[in-house]
Amino acid sequence: MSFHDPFMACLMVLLAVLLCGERSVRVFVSGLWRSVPLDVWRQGGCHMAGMVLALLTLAVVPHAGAAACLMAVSLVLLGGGRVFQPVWGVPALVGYGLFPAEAGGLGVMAVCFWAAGRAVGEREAARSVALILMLGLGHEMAARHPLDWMLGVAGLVGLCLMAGMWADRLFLYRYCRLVRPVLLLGVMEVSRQQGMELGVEGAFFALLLDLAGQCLAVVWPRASLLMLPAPPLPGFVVGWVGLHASLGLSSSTEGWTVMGCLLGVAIMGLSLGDGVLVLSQAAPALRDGLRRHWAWGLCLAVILPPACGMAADWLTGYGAGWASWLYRLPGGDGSMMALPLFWGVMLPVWLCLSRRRRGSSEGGLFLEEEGETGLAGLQSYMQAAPVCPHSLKRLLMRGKRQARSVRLSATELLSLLPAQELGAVFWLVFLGCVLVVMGLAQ
Amino acid sequence: MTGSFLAAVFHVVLELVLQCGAVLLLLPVMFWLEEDVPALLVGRAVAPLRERYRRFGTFWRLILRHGLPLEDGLMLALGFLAMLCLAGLSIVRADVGTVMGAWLADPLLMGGVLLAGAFWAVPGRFWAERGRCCAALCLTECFLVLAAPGVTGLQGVQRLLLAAPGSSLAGTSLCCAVALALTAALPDPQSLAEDMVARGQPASRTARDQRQVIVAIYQVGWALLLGDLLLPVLFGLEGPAGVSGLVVRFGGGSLLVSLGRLTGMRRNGRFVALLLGLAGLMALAGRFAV
Repeated sequence: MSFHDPFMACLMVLLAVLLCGERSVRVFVSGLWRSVPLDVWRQGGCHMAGMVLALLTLAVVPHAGAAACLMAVSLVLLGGGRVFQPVWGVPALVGYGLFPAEAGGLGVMAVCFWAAGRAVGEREAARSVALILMLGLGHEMAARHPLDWMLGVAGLVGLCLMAGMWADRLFLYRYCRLVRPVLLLGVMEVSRQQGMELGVEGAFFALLLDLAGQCLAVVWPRASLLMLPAPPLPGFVVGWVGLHASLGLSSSTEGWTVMGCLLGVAIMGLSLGDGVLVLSQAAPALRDGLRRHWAWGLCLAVILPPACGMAADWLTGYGAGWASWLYRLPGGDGSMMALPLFWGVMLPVWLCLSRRRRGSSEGGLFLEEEGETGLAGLQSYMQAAPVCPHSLKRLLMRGKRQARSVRLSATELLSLLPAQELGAVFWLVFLGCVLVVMGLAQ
Repeated sequence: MTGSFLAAVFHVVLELVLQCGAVLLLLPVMFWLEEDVPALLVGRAVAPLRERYRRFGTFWRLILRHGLPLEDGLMLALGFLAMLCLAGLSIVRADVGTVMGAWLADPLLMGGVLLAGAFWAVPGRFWAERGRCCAALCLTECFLVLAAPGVTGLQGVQRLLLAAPGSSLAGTSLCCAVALALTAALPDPQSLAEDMVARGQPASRTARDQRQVIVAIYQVGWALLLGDLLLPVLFGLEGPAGVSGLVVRFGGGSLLVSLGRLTGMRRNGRFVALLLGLAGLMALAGRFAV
């Protein structure tokens, strides 16, 4: 079985998850037997039709023309008529219909970027659908010309930035989560061309985890906190595995040494930028979360990376079996991260350290403090008398005197030197140190 | 079969308990070295070391009796596990130490844990500093892998250095350690106090003391990470030698931190950029020399 069809199947499964879980679709379905406001119901219907059409688009990808038409209709439905406005979208899609595996992929990418960049606030679902459509339709081009694919996305982001620079403060960060999967797909295809199975598996794992996290964030807005690039969370796993997949590219491929490093840093940097956006959007949810939500979020954070890893392993068919994903996550270059083990140790430790009885919260401690009488209660906070031993003081004074005399003679010596400025001397000494270290390195 | 399995489980548990015990015994000394010794060298009078032990004992007794709030508990668990991974001890059983050293003691992972936990403990206005610190960590990871392809964690760095002494890997990690020390953005107790005053929470005295100890653990962990990068050869020595290696590494790291604080180089972004560039050059040189 070729690899391309399972990739499409993955994207279709993610789209189906979106279709089942998105809020406006749920409103639409419940509106069939309950009364909901008409415009909300109509919008839900549009969303549902758009997602079904997107599913159909992924199913007919081999027929490029039909796929382009279906995609245009689905984007129009999803955006409520406002997403698919630009005139250049039509020739771009026609170009895709004519040359699906060549430069036409860039046209699809441009259209989807435009649609996804316009999707703010209520239309978060449109962004995920546009992203999935872009990956699905552009995969053929990415498989043949991965370098053009990555350069194209860099150019397009540059154009978007120049066109919409001053929209608002978060505009820059909003593109981060769109560009990251595209770069990951590029890394995956380059690794496949170079015949690196580990790299393919790692990049595909990161891509799958990234898309799954974004879809979950649409279905349950609190789940967007999972994509923070803070270490035990899945968002960090995406960045780390992406970084290591491109580092693996740089360490075992001719000609990609520096490019791979830059790509890895770019992927991690995009994760960090995305983290800024997530923090600014979902910070209130972090503060007043219920205990039930915390538990669900923790379960998702623990389960999501191994589950995506097993799926990626099964689809690529290269890996060493599913059991190893239960205790370690491989990066793309042979390095491992035992994050599930870390979770497994951290959760019991956390439970041990946390307060067991809810009743004895702050008040209990206060009561106990006041219960002990007078100074005895404060005894544990008293410090012993600070000391500074006399001998140590004498030693320090002697050292200070010594240092002063050394400095005097040093200034005398330095005044004899040809270079008078202190900065120049510092740089000379620094250069000398560098040369010594380099010499040691030989 | 069952007997050997039980023995293996017993050994693993014993190893973990011994490691925790060693780290817990060393932590007050580390606090003392990190905070009190610089003050002592300046000429101020400080409380003796046994005072640190007594307060640390009080801290753990209160936790074991009453427990922590959920958030503080998570912070403490993260910080303590990061310390344990960065300590790189292997006392009874070598493979436990190898797993922790190679698969968990990754500079980016552990640095990220420390940064995220500290940011959660003291949310402040240090966005730019933290961003710079994250970038420096990413570059460190990149350069380490670039200098030695396929290296896994600090344990891998140590193995490679033992196999090929004097390779460019040592210079790369040294430069990265100095650069990280100059960008350090972990909050000190002063900023924690300012943050608490600014937020005006009605926290009890116990809660404030506990939060201070947690922040101090993060600071010690950061110094230990710097020490690991500075002297990677001493990471993960087997047996009791690991403890002395830990102390030496921590001494080196806290020396770097206090040097950065004393010379006021923390503001000097150009110097950091220069060091990182130098690390990249050495990594590339080592890569192409092979």
